[in-house]
Amino acid sequence: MDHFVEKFGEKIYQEKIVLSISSVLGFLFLWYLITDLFGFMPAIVLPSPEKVFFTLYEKILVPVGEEKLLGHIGVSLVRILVGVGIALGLAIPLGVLIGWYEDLDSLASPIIEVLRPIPPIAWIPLAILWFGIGLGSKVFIIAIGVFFPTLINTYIGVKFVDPLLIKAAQALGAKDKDILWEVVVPASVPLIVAGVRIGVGLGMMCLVAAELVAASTGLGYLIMLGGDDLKPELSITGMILIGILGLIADRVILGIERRVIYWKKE
Amino acid sequence: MAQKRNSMVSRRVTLAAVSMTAGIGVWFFLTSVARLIPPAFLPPPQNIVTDFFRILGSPYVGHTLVGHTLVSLQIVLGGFFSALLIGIPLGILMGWFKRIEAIVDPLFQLLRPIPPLAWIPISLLWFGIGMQSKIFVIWLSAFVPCVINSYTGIRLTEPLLVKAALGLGVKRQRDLLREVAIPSALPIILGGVRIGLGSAWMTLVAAELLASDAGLGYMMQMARRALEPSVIILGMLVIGILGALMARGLRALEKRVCPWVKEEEH
Repeated sequence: MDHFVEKFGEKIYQEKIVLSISSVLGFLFLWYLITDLFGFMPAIVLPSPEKVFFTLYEKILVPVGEEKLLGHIGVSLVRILVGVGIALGLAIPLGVLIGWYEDLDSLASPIIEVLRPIPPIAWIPLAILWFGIGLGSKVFIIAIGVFFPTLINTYIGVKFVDPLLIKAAQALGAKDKDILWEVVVPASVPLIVAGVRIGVGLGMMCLVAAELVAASTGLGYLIMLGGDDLKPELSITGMILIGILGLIADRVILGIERRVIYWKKE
Repeated sequence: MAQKRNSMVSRRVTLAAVSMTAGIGVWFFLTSVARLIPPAFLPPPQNIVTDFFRILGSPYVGHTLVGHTLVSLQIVLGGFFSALLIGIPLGILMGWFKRIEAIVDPLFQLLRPIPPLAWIPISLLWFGIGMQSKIFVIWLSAFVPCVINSYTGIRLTEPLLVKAALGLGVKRQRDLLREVAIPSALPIILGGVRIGLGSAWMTLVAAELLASDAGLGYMMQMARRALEPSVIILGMLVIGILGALMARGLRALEKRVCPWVKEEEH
């Protein structure tokens, strides 16, 4: 209700900032209180905030398993980038083709509709059987996660492009091929980018899942190791880093989106 | 016109049938006739059918296929419904009261970028490998979209509607919320419920792959160790079909609950 009747706009705004800051501080303080000060929570259940912070700092210098912290981040980054690259390379062209050519759509749709409802994570056991526990299986899972949202959005973008644009181009004498590349594909870029954004979010989850199930490097491995070794501070460190990585990835895609579709108003 | 449409539809159906038959035919040929792909890598389609009947009748790693499915369903539904029960009211309150938004939103934004899957190891540490740890993680995965969409839905309520209701003499906030804001937010809320269901399934599979003693994910993980890809594929199919059925059920519910919303393009 407050959002619709703003009698005390300025006052509410200030109050909001105060409440937001005190809520975050209160959360951290409560965490500190129950772990360090009163010790309600033993450290192997919930480590204190400063322990998490020191773990983060320490692991930059001291290796965990095969790598130091930056090494693990690097490994995860390579996996996600290769997976996303492969998925986009396949999904966008295929989406354009089946969105544009009706017969190809009829041929491909049934197979896509059978595979699409299977969560990408359910591919993990098969991927390990097929590609072992190295880079291959992780890239495969991530690529499946990114592939479907990108494919579907590209397909919808191309298929449901404003018919008026196509008619205008036809009236101006454009050939079919030109209409596809000069009109339809550019017009569907916003939807394609939106699909990529959903896909990369899903890809991050697939990365974590694949690294949790079978890996000896990467952020997911750190999270798993923390659970196995009863060092929850290591798990929390990994969780924070994967969250930051996800946020950065999302920002990068948003930045690209703004650059590519500069003509579209916010 | 109608005739042309009919012939287009029948062409579509024919092509779809052709592609399905060809897909299974190629699969059969490669694995069973030419034997280019060993069955430990990709089993022939008929093996999946025979394995289906085998584990339907006699237990595989503890339960029959139905038993594993029931275990998984119980966990998914438990986590999913508790997420709805807590997430939707919280989102609605955040959307309606600025103070609640100011307190809850920053914490939410802090925790949101961490993929729910990444909580699995720490949740195992907290709750053990029984049902609780899985229900917690699934609750988390469905909770986030429920909160976000309920919150967004309420915030997007047309201010004109609120003003009109006020002008018509609605006095109590409760009525305003119940009669105006919530109905107008309903389609978006249900969208969040659908997203939540999807991520609940994904998270379930990951949790069962990692630590479990029953359920579809467990069955697939054991089948991987026993090098029985046909059981893995069966698990994937069951998960895919159940997920698709539930999503379809939700769509039907959506249509019934808010019939004024136009159907999406796909």
